[in-house]
Amino acid sequence: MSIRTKAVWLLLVVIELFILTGCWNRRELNELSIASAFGFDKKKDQYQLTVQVINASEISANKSGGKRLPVITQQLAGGATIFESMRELTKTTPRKIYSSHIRIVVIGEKLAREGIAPVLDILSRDHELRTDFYFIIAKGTKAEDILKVLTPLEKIPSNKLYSSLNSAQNSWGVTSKIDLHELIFDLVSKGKDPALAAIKISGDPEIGESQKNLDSVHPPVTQEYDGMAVFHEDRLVGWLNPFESKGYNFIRGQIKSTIVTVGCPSGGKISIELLRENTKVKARVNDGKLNMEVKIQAEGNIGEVACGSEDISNPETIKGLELAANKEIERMASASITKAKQLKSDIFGFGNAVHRSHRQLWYPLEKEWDEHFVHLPVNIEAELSIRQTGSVVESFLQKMKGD
Amino acid sequence: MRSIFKRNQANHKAKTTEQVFLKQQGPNLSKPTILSETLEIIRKNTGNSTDLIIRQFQIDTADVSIDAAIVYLDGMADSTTIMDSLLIDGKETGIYRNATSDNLIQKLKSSLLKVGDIKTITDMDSIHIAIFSGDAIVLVDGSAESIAAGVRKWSERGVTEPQSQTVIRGPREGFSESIRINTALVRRKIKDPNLWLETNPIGRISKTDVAIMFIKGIANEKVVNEVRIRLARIDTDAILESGYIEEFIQDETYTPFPTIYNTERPDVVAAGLLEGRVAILVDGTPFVLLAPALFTQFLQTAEDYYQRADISSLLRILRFVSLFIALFAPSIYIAITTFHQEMIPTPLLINFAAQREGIPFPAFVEAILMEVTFEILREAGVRMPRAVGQAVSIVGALVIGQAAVEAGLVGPTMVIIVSITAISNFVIPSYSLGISVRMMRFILMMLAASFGLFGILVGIIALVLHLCSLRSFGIPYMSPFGPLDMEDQNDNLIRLPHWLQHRRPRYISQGNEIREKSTQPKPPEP
Repeated sequence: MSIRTKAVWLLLVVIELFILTGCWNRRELNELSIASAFGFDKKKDQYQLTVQVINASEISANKSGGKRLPVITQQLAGGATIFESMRELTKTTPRKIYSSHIRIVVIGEKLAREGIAPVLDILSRDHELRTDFYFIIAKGTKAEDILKVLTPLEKIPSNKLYSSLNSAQNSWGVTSKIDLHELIFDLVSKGKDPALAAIKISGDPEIGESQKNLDSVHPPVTQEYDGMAVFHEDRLVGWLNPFESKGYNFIRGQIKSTIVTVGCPSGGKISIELLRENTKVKARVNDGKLNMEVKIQAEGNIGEVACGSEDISNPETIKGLELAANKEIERMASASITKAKQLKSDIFGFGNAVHRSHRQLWYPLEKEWDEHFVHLPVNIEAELSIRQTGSVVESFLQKMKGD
Repeated sequence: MRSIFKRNQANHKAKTTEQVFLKQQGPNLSKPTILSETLEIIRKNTGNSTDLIIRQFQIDTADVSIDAAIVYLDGMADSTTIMDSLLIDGKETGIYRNATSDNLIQKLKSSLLKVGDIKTITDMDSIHIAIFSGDAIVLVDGSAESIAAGVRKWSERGVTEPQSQTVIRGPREGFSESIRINTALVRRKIKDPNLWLETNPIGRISKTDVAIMFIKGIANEKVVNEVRIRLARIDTDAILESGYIEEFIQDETYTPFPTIYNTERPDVVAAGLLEGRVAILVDGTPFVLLAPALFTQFLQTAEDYYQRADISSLLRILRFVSLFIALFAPSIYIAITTFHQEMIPTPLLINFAAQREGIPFPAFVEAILMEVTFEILREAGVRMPRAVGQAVSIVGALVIGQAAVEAGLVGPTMVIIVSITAISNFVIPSYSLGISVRMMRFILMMLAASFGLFGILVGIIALVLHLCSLRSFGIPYMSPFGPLDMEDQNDNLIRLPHWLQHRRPRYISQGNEIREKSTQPKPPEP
């Protein structure tokens, strides 16, 4: 190719670049409505979609005084399918809803009881979604109401839901975050049923959606995580309370850190802060009978000593505390197993454990696993070791009493 | 590697240097023996130029009185010494009285003229060249020979600090416009007879002295020959700056990247020579060319070798980072904010979105607007008289800054992007590479605006392919990155301490690679 032809080609390409600028999926930031949360409800036989849209210019840092507009707006639309209702939204929103940045998906209790699977397909099919958002279930209310509430401190309510879900799991262990992939995996897998974090609203949601909720030091309306929602297949069947949720997390090995409280022999309480936790779930066959073995290993520090006469510098006392804590953990775990058995929902994935270790045994059980699960003996063994006692050894309470 | 020189040699059967350089218009006459005729020819050929001085005088020899003349250009030759010799010393020492009309020229040459550089010339062309180079011509009536005495002297700028490549630590001297001073500056750094210098005039009219300098035994003979051949191939009327030479002798003409290094610093030239490069010095400019040049060389500074190795390695890495920022920052911003919003962390996206509220242009137009404004400011800063320089900075701060944001033309993020790009661009030590990066940046911005990150990726692939296809005097431009040479990495992205740099760059000094036999410094034995 001569230089002249080369130059002509290059020129053509460059001209083309300018013409093609603005090809099909180019969009400027100010043409987007950034959605931060989706809520799904069922109203009669229609799906109702709630979208929390961020009002970017209100949230951005360089905003001078004057009257503040709400940081989010809520858009509602209904349709026979989710996709239909998403497109219905365009009738009310000025801009295209951009859903790559959603943090949370709330599903109303009514829809959850009917089955969540139809909702999930579009979420996994649509290319725009990033799949790193978490699912929560609105307990005793509609998703719409949960997404209505304005929150102090965290300006974007869905961010509040996202981060307090994170912190509740990481440092308290009473909720469980689950993203789209995990949820679909649980739904598809025969040996595990999903369990999702549950959220409830305290106070009147009508007040929660107004600026009034932010004007008070003590916000009248708050969203609050409250245990977990237990599913069987894709239907909500019951709830775990926080105590049972903690037990669930122990069995699933999802505890990052939590507090285990044990009583002192002499009255009062001692809190042990768990720092590491590791669980092994094994299916064993004894005399042709299947049973589960759950081994919980944990390490922790003494975080608080609220009893007078305990000498925690004594290794014997520490031993005693460890035993008491083990009992407590086992109690939590068995409480959650009892509840799950009542609801006939294998949220712990015991079925998967059987599948993994005893493949031959699993296939005949697979069909009626729910029934087998209810009668499955589970042996729980906790083993906590206390490493440190904090920055003091003896509590000053002891000295006070000593006088 | 061995065959890369063949292509050039095959295509251009080398003409000898003389054939090209001595081409003249009109026939070359030999000098007439009669003085008045000679002077007449000189007057005619120079159009009676007013700075041409012809001083005629008489010499009383033993037998007859002979007419003689000195011809020189006022302002280019120092005539006092030669005048002294001819008009005073000749009579006082009695040399004239001992001479005869036949051996007068011989006597003048051998015992009278107090000048070091003396040539005998017999043809008119040489006389002209000598006069216009600043020599004084001594003509004697009745002789076919004439004497060209080297008394060149004209006012020169002294050795001053280089303007373009400043250092904190390192020599402060820079080249000047005189080739003689420049060669001396290099010679002072390398005192070795193997430092060879070849000078030839280039340019039919300008007859500019162009010298090539290399160290015999270190420089690759093939490269030196290639330089000779390419210089000989130049047939133009004038060479006013080394940039002319650069354009005439580079390997690849259609590239934005410089394939010949230029510098104002004698220490850089000396270091290049010691690595086996060839220096090309051009009379009339302080910019000396070094070939072959590698891409990585344009991101190195003289100071890298004067500061401690760890510091200079970090600074080099910083420069590479800056290179990437200068190339890609605006295009990545455009691509991500218009195509890949899902890649931005949510809080940042919200901020970006808030800033873009009410901005009328797409991000690409916004970026082009700011970049072009900045380029205008920079160009104005370079061209403007020093006295008004301050005005540029004041206006510049307004145009690329808060005022532009408040006017609603651009978003604050774009101001930051353009500023960091501009500053990063200034970190690139070589001005010529900086310009290439500026051009590439605009192309990448267009690609980003059309195809997003995909476009940037295509741009990067094209850029890398192009860079890897370049050669500088047969040496792969991207070496030692590609072809990767692990041994040459001792002075590439990082600089190892001097006591570890045992070898010269392999691709440049082929055949004589051992530089030193030093070992790690140690404390004295107890």
